[in-house]
Amino acid sequence: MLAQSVSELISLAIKSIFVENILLAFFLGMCSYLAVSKRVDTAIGLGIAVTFVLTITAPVNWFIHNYILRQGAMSWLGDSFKDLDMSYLGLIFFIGVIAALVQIVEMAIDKFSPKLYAALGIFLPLIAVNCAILGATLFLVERDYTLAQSAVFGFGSGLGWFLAIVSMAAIRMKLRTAHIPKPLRGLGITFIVTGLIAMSFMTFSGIQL
Amino acid sequence: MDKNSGVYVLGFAGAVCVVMAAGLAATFNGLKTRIDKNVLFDKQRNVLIACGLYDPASPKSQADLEDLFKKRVEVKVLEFFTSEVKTEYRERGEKKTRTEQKITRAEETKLSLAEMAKAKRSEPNRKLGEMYLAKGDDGRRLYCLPISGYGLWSTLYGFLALESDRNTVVGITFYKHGETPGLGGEVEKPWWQKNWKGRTTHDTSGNLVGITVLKGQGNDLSSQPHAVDGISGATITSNGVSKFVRADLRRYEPYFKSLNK
Amino acid sequence: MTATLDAPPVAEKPPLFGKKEKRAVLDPLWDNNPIALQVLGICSALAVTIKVQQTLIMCAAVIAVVSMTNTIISLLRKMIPNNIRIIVQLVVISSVVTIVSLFLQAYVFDASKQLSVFVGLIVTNCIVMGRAEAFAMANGPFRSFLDGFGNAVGYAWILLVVSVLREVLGAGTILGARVIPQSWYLEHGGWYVNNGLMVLAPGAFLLLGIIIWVQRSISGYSEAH
Repeated sequence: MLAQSVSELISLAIKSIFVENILLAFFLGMCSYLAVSKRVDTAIGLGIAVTFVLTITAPVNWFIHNYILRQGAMSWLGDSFKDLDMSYLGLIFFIGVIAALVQIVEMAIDKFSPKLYAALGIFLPLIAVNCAILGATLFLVERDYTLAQSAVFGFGSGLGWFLAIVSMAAIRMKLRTAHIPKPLRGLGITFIVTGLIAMSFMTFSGIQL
Repeated sequence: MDKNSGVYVLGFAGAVCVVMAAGLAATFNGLKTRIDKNVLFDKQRNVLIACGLYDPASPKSQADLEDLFKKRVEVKVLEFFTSEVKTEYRERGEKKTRTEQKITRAEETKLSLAEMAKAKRSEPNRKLGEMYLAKGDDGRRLYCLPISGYGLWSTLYGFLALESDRNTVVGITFYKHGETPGLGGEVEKPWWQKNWKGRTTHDTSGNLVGITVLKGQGNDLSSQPHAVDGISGATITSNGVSKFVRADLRRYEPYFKSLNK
Repeated sequence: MTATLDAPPVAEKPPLFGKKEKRAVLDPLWDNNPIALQVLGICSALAVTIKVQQTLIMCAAVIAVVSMTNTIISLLRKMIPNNIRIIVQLVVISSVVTIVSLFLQAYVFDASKQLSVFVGLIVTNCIVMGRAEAFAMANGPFRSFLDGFGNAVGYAWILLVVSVLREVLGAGTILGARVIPQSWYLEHGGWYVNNGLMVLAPGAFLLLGIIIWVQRSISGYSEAH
């Protein structure tokens, strides 16, 4: 029983890192991916920050959804709360948790690495609106994951995002020396390269786990 | 007052939250009846489509369909483990409701240890399920079951209607999903759904085998009564559909068996 | 209003729709387009552009959300303490999105079903937050409203172009109506096959890359390496 659930968790982790990469298969978290993938070191910094936020928010939002928001979730307060349905507050709660964490991470980075803080610029507060993070929460709600699954899924998605942005940054470092038509430079070519990476990642979707 | 003082920050944050939450609660409660009605009607419409009582190609008004549903379909709740059929059940959106949410969330998932052992790991731990009993055109009884499960990106929700022999498929519909339009999303299209009509869920010795959605389009089905033609480019969605249709049928099987006796 | 008689000459009052207001609306349509130049709001741009109909509703929802949040944030801007501004902005944004999504569910149920999680994901559409942070925090409500509206429309037209191309090339239809004649198709004796790649996400990437290329060739903008 235990061994089976552990192997299930491992396969979920592999799935969320490679097969269903949150960025390359679901296309969530594109904005900061496109803007911060110019240099490998900043990409690594942002990747770690996103992974960290995702790993913590996924289980926290799981608790919020299952013990506060969904219909009947408040029944631990007594029978009179059995019918209470506050799912319409879902977005506010989820984004609140995410934003609070991002603010903490922001303060931590500012304190420990002012250089990285300056390099990440406006995209640090924008982690809060990184679709990958809210997206992961919405997925775990829709898929009815257990607590353990949510934690693994959050971490796996973060790691997958980290991999994608770092590899894109590495490709863009190479592109710097390439002769690209002027208007295509930067965003345009990044999109086309991402399209090609996405195509190659589609082959992962054939893997059965 | 200092905008960055702790008292101000806390007070401001509190005020914003209270105002916004109040606004949301008011909007939600104001629109709730309408939304519930929409959800309920959407399901009723799809039950009628699955049972072949309504063809969306020749549209009817909402009032007509609600009337048709009232006349032809009975909603029941089945306890899977005891095969007990409950009639005291009303949908959301009607007065004095015993809400659907309550069933799917609270009661449905409360299993005793013995029941848990019986439930297959791969199946959702559900205790109760809806069952729509419809009257066909010639008075025969049709069984319409809710089906749901993962496809590629999302959970699909739909209905599968069976003939009075509880073996032959009358029709299938999907009313909610997030699959890629044009690929997996084709499951909601009539051209694919009509493939299901007449397929059977049991082999000749009466064992439940379910229905398998084949890979790709244009398969030869003559020797495969338990299969339907697939959708090209949507293999994972198709596999998901095969899997959860089988799992859902298995939950109703004990009850259907008890009727066969 | 008798007080206006004693008021200073009208000429000193800035016009209601002056140069700055005009810029707030027109700039994001082309010169400072949110998708092509500011790199904002890409996520949902890919997800909802497979069918034109879906895209239209999504665009309407985004226009409503961005204009409304920009106005609200701008009204609150002098009261918001700096260190919790992001959370306050997000609370406002997610409330507005929830309200819009509830209205969609109540009045255009079928469309809201098709958009599913993507209505919720408007919260994380960087355009909303980006404009709130960059413009509404520093400008008056009316101008912020116009800026929000302009940016959302600038976002909407690119989305529409992508979705028209994807639907025509991927399914041969626009808004469900057939534009590529049936008789052209291979299975009806013709020579044409729909381009399956267009329906998938890589197709959206390639198209978006090309549209940006074209837009930038015309507007003359280019990125330094």
